[in-house]
Amino acid sequence: MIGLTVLPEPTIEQCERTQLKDIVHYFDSEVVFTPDQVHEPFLNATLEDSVEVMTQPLARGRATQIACDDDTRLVWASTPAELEEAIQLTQTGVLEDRPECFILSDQLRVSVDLIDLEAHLDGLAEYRAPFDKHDAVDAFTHLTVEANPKYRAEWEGIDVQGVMPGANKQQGASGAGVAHFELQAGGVVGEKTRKLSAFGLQAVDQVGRSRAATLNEAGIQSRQDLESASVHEISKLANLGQQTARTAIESAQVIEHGEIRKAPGASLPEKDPIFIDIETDGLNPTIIWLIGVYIPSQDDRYMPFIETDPTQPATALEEFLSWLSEHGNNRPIVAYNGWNFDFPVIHEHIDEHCPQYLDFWESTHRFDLYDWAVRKNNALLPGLTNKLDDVAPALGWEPLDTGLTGAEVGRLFQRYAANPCPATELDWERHKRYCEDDVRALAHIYDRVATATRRMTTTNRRSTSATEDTTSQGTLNDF
Amino acid sequence: MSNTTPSLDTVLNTDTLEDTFPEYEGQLVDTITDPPREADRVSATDVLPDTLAEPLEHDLYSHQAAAIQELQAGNNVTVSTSTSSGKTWIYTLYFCLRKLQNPDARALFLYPTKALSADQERAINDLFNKLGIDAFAETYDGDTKDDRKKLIRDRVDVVISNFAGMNQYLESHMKWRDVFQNCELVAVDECHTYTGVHGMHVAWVIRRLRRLLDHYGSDPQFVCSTATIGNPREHSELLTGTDFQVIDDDGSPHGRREIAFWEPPLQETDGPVDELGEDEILPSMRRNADDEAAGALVHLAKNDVQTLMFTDSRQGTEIGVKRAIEAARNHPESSYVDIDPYHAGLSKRKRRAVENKLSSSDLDGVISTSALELGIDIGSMDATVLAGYPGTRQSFWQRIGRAGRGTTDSLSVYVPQSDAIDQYILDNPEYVLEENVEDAVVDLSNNPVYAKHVLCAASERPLTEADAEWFGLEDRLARAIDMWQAAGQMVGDLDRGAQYNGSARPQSDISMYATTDEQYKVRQEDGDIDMEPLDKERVYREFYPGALVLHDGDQYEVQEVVEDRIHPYVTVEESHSSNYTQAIHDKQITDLEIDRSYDLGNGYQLCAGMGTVHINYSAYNVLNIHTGEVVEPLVPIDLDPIYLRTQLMWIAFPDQAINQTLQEIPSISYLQPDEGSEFASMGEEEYTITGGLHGGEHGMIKMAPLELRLDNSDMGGLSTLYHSEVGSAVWFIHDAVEGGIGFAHSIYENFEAVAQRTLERIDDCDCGRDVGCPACLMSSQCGNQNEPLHRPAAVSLLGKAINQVETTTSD
Repeated sequence: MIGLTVLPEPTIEQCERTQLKDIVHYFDSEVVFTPDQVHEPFLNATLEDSVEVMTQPLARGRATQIACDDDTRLVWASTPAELEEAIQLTQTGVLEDRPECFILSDQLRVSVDLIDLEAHLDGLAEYRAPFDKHDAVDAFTHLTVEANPKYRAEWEGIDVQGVMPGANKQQGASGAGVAHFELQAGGVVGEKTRKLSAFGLQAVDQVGRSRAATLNEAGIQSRQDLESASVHEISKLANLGQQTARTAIESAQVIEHGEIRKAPGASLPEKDPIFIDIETDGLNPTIIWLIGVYIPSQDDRYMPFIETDPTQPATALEEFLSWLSEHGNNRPIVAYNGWNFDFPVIHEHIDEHCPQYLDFWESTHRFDLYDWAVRKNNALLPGLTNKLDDVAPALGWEPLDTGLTGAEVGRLFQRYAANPCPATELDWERHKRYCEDDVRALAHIYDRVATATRRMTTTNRRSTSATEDTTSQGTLNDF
Repeated sequence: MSNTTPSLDTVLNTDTLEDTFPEYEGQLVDTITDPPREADRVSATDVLPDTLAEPLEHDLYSHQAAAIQELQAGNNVTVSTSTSSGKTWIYTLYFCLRKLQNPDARALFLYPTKALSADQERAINDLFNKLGIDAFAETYDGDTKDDRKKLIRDRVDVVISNFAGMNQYLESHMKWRDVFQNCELVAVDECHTYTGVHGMHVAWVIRRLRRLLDHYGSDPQFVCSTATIGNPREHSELLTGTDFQVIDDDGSPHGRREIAFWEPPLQETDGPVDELGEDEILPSMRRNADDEAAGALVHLAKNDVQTLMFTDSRQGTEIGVKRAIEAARNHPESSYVDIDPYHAGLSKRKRRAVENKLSSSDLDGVISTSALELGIDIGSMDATVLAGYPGTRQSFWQRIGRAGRGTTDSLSVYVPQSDAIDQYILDNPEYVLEENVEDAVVDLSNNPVYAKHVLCAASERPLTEADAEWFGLEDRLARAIDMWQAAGQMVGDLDRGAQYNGSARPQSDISMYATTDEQYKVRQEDGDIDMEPLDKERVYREFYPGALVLHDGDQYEVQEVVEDRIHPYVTVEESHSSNYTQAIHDKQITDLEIDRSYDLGNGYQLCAGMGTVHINYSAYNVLNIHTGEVVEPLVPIDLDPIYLRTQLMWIAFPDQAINQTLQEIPSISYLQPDEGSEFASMGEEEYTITGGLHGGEHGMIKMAPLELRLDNSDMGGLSTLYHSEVGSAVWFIHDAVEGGIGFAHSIYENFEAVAQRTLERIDDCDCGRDVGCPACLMSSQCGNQNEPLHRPAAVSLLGKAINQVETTTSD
């Protein structure tokens, strides 16, 4: 597995040293890529030898191997000659022993012609020719800097994955973003995109770009500096109100110490919860194929309700509901970011596939821990963002590092549903384990929130990171 | 003020005017009288059960009864009758009927504006109360408080909203489940307003809504209400995708309506205008309609006639009041008249004050924008004055209808501007009395708009083959899905369900007034302009740096076009110049694709299809509004050429027709191209006939709004003596919006009627000039500085085309 981190030009231009270090640490990057060579000195000086720094090669003619380990390989190639070389370089040795190959290039660009209802992959013919010649079209996954990180589509056998935040306006505009990709066997790409403002001082509530700059000038360069400062000091240095300074310091403390602080009077549901997490085939899914249920209070029990046949969208759901109605005992059903995804999706699918459970479902006590803590300001959670994947490790949870994301799992299921065969079939047992890991992580956070004793000193805050998180609502990412 | 509305005879007869109107020169050129109409009533008990009929104080108008009966028979109904003929009652009473049968029945009433929603909410609840129906209507839109929203969705019987709102709400349809499941009636009010780009968006939102209603197992009846348009059935059916019965036999009464047609006198200038012969006077040499109308207003007010004057701009209301004060000073009647301006830019307090003074008759006159056209209760005025034709007959009558109420008589004065349509109406007053001429234009073939709504639909529920029912041909749907898949915005397919896969809500990406994503915001540097974002094409055509533009009647000068960023924008500053600007462009039309065509025989071809329009806006002229003189010539425009793929229509003429025209027109009228102009190489015959083609093209674009409800600033044209793809002489009319909006195609469908109106106008124009004038052939939007134009040649070519159509269709 190769960890590739991509910083587009607008991001690197704004990126502070502390942010860059934070980014590399957060993603555990092996390679950092940014298009323009002028940033190489800054990257090298800041990161020293901890990662490979890569920019878009100016001198054409040679394919450049960026990274390689036992099972994956990443090569930069742009011109037909470079592609030719890349193919020759990688297609050697025994087929079974060859590492999975990813080519990074700037030659493939998606454009959409709305008038004629056609999409085009510009540069495809020229790009494709050398692969055809060597009969190696499907031996590669093709990463392009000309498409956004969430872009993945197959073009006449060329499997294209975008890597550059903000590359293509038609795929959605974004502010300064940082994208990270875990390149794995089978062309699997675990993608995470974060805002630059999730790193460094700006990860702290109430601190944006300009306040970070002001604090920097005043000698507060990191969250560590901030969390140990006094309210008086910060308020004076950065010309902030006392309340704002207090909020910022508290937020820095929470992140740096990995702790939880609850609002006065904040309380979780009384009954023992049932934790759930669902796997689907997309954001507006046609099937919920896995519902992972974890009940710590019942012998630490994990129950995966699964249906592997894409044509049977009712099965897993019905089994889950049948179980829940019999054994749920009115306990709260807890999901992370549930009001934005799990709960409405389940609701809609019940309405469609098993309406007999509709009244029952509506009568249940559903509880969204993310909503309760972040949006309703009942608790401050540690982690650079409030996503489950960030909060749980910050509270000491050790996740199974799968390199998979909800979106990637959805894509794999789609691929299987379109063409069910052994080659595309998912490793169901593995996914049950991943899902289990996620619900257990959720339970871990819940438990830590329940037992937390520290109180927030600031209330009625407008949490900047909360609003940022909600703008990505409805994505499968990491919640 | 007087208690009875005066008649023309008492205040506006020629003798009185000559005696009392300052410098009267026979301005009153025509009058028409629309005789009073008696109400046609049907006993309410004939169509309604006693519980509903008894509490009603009046019987129903015949059209209300007929519509309710159609609805009772299970049909969808579109009601096309006059303003304030009680259309709301039709669907509200029918809802009461359903509610009596099924206490769970719910309904959606959809209005074009928030103001109208609020107004109707009151009227509907009043009717529920009066009838003792246990039902409640409430508005759900952007202004609804969060704590009411769930309550309205879960409980309120009639949800009132608008289409911009519905576009957003459909995403969370599970929250609307109870409304959708129990929905028995959907009312689409004022549906004639849904035309052009906005109309297509509304049509697709309705299909998305119907798809979800169907998903929740309901199949509500539809009621459309519309102003009197020419194609109520077709329009309602296109808009909603379902069948309709038309009710257009208006049973509501009105009083006698008198309209005076008032031609402004010549402007006072130092120039030689006075020496011109009668046939040398151009309409543009006459006084501005606003100024002249203010004089008429004062005259009426001095005669104790409380008068409401309409003008098109906010500035116009303020200037109009100044003019009125001057006019009052010059008027022989010495009494003081109190006149106020009224427009949406005034503070709420000021507007209320004017409204109250009007109701209590403490004001002699008001000069207003369309803000007082409908909705706001100001009681009944004695008379109205219209400075300029408001663009549609519906709006014309709406303004006229502000005087007189119910069966009282009314008096109005119409003062034309100098442009073609206003002059046409001055020459043909009977036009305003004709019934159902204007067709509403909505067109669903625009792919960019279609594709956006497909994306929204896929985020509402995965799309399957069955959804071809809502989204048209399966092939089109499949292509849109393939495209979005390849673009990474969708996953899945029609077999398993194609779902939206993007990160942001696609509904938020819909701009209900645009076809493309690339929208330029308009920012005012010295104020707060309220303007919808613009298409790139429109920015290049009208908002180039230096351009003088009108918005809401007010003038602005464009400062900057900023494009090198994600959200491009245009900056403007308020301006009070007496100039206007005209962009010069080179235009080409290529890659024609014929969708529909008429072989008119003898080599004439009438076609509709798609084409690529290439435009290079190279420079602009600054011209004086009054004289038309170029103040500053050929200021360069620094913008790249653009092209758009859009809908167009064309009429092609055979060589024989060209030759005949040349023989028909007097050779003395032949035009010579200027030396050094781009036409310099042309002979006089070629140049003259090119002027005829160009004039026909201009004329049809200018006159189309008489037949079709469309905005002719969203159209353009091109004429040429030889087009290589067509193979002969031709003029094109194209939509100026990416993907097309059905305007050019509707001209194709209504070619004969539009050509006929155009011919009448051009032939009758008082200018008598071979090169025409702004009231016939000249257009301020022309990219060739109105060169060449030839009126007799245009008349001849139009005549031949019409003749050819008549011959072909009568065969």
